[in-house]
Amino acid sequence: MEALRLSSLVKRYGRVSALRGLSLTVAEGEFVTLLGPSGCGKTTTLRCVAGLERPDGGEIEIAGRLVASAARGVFVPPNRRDLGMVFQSYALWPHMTVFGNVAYPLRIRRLPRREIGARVAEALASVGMAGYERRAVGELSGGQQQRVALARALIGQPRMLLLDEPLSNLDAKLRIALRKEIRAAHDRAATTTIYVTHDQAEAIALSDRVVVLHDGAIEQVGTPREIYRRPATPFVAEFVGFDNLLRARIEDVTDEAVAVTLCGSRGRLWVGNRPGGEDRLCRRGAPEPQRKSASRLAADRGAISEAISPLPPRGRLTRSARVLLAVRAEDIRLVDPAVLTSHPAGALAGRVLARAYAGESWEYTVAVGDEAVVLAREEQEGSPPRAPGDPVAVCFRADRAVLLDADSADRRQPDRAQYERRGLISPAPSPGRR
Amino acid sequence: MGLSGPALSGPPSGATALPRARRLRDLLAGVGPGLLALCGLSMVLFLWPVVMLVLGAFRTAPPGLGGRWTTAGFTATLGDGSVWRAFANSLLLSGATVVVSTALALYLAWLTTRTRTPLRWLVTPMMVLIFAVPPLFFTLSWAMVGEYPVGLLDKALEALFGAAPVNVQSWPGMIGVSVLGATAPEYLLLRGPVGALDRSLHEASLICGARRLRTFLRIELPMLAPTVLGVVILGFVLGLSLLTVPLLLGEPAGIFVLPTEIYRYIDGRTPADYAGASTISLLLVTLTLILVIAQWRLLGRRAFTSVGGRAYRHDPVDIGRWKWLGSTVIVLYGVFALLLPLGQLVLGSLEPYFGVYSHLTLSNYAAVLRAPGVRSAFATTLLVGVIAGFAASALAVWITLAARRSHSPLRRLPDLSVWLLWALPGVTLGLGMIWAYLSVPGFRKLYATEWIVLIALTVGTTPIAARAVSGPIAQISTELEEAARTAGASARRAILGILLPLILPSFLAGWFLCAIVSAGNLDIPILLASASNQTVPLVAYNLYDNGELAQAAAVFCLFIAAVAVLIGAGAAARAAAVAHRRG
Repeated sequence: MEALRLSSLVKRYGRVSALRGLSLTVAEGEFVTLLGPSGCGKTTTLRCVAGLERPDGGEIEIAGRLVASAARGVFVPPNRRDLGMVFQSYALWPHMTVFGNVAYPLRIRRLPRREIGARVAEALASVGMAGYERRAVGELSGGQQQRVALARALIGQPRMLLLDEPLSNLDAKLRIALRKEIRAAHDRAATTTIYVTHDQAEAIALSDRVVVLHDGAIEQVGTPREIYRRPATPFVAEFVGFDNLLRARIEDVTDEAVAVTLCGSRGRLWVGNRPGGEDRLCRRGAPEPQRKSASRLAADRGAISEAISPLPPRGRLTRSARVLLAVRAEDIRLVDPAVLTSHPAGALAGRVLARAYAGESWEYTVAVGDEAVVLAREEQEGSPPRAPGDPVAVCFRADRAVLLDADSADRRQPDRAQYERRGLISPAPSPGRR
Repeated sequence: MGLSGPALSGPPSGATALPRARRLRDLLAGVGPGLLALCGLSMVLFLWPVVMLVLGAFRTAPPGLGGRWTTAGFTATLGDGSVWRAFANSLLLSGATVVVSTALALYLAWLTTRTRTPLRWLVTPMMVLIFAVPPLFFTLSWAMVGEYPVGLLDKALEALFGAAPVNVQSWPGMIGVSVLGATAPEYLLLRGPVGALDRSLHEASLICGARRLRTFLRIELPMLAPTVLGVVILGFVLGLSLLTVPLLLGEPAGIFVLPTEIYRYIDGRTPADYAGASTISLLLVTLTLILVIAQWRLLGRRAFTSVGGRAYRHDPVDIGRWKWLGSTVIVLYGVFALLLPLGQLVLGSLEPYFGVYSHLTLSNYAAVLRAPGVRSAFATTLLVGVIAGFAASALAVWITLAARRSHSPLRRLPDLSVWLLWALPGVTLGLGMIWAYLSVPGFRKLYATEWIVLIALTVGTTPIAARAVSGPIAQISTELEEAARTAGASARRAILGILLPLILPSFLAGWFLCAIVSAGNLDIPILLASASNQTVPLVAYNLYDNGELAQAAAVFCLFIAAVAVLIGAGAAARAAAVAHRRG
């Protein structure tokens, strides 16, 4: 049985639609994250599940029980939904002690005094706050308040745990420590958890499944690895940190790979498991590109082991179709331009426009062809960094690049004109001459 | 919001019936019985007196005596040259007061928040104290200080220079005393915004090469301009509403303003001209309403909460020799606004006859305490203050919560009607209450009892209470209540166990503030109270009016002592509550 089922959920505030027909099912024991920028509807969805908002359309079922249906006039108030919730501001009651806050759900359930005392002590101990019972909540630090809020949400052994950006008010170090604790609490309590955040690293590190929301609708649902490696839309790609979204055209389609050309550039690029293994050029001698700690966490848990194909479903791949080529900066490598003659199919000719030191790596802005400007990130390897104006060969990790449907939205591109003004590259041919 | 608009009027034709019905349903959606009751109460308490005040200008007979509709009183009053002289005087008094007092308040706010001027810590407590002293007593004491030629000021000047030139019952005296009083609320409103100005903006200007004065004129003043303008408008409204200063200091010198004209039309004429008084009230309310709306458009409601920026820690600057000028201004203000009037009152209450500085005696206190009217006035004042303060604070909490919790457009009605009262000076409110309650048979019995005074003071102080409680209530995050709901508490339990305990402190503060304001108010009881249920300010005013200055001073000293005891008790209770929670 599903722990939660949302069917065509609609919520309007005046004339603004916060949710436009959102449907989702969550399995028992699953940890699902709603991810998206502010205003995407993730908090509204959570509040509808909690019963703090009344949906204007659609239905919500919790563990098979209908709790909200606009059409049938059903609305179960939040106190009858058997939930635990952690709020963004923690919402600890300032006129009660830590004990009073954590004991509240049990007092509502009229448990005997002695049992309440024992269970509060246990709950506080499980979040590392043993002995804080008599403290006023105002005396606690942000991280401690967060732990108390978590203990309060879990003490009633709710059917479902809801968390609304619980870590957004904490500093970076504490965020990482507490997100492990939240996952541990979920595993220990064996509850179903819905977690709302705008931080992709948090979503990827914590969840069994990530739901990316955009403009009140679901953009993509998938495992953290799918979301991180294989975004389905340009919006998701940008949101999870694909630095380059380049306009391209499909030239060739094989079983395992697709060849594309970047707009304004000649050479072909292969995406997928490339025939002849030519993309070794890109990997040879190079250390494994720096992976985000978030993805490492997800991989360590072993939750996801299936291979992820970088190719979209075959139906959409037709020759000469317009697509977007999405690739992270760390999956682009700059090599000696000499390889352009030895491996003409392995790389594209480019010219360094600018560089920026970023600690463990250098970030290069590189012009490729007449139109594309790409961002590449290279780890420092002792060799002197490339300078603006240097010619380079640019190669892409074919198995890490992703092809997306071209959309009309204006995509992230460094400003080419400023480099033209400085004479680093020749001006792009104007549309009239083309 | 269209309650009486297309939603309710006109025959429903087939084509438009649906949207109309829908609009009505939208309007009433989510309106519980509580909100409906509150809307009804607001209309009776806040809107009914205003409506009756307007209608009263067009009646031939006094309130409660029937009569016919007529525009005779209205036109006759507007044709009276003295009314227009009073109108001009009101503008002059208010304008002169607001210009000087705002400049002084701005200067003092800047001194205390941005500079290291010695004695700057003294300013805020002093202002709170001046603000808390009822305007009547402030004026009364100044009337004595500047009483020609026997007041303390004249005595001091005479001893120094051999001449006693100061007579406070004059234009300069009126403006001076008004400035001293008006500076306190303006300072308290300006202090927050001036202190919250981001220091880095100032520093950015200095780094660009501008001098400090230029920086103030080009950066800080323009940024403060909306706030300052809002405070100026508010000060102007308060100046126009002022009754006590012109009554005590202007009338003896033959200077009349609109509020004193209203009072004179009723108290100084036989028979009392109620239609005329209402007409003058309309003139005054129209003026204040325009200003209040202008202020609202300008600032939203921010001037009434504090206009805050980010909390920002910055070090005050040393302004060199200029700081001694600042200290001098602070000391002079303290002497003139607090020390001199207070000293005069205490001294005056001990004099056998006012102006006789030898043979000090307690006989005034004995005489005052023997008088039955005075003792009962203290009892009435205590009762009226406590109950009116409670009711005003409770109403303010209710209205604030209703506006926050409901989504219906109707929720704004109580809020807006309270807002309207800012534009209703005390005398006009008193007059409106007479019209409203004498015209309804059941309510008529309330007239000349302390209950009508009590209701009027509740209505009059609710805007102040609303201002005091709305800020703190807005800071109580709705998430606190929602957390209780998701923890399994019913709606009732969440309100009783979470919301009410959190609101309680602001409710108590509002109660206290309104009790003190009600107890010290003269403008409202002056028209409503009868001889048998006078309040302390009224008794003091009557004593002053009869020339018993020393006894009036004694009443004032007793009043101050009583308020001090109450404040002390309140502070002790609060300390005990805090200790209890800590313990």
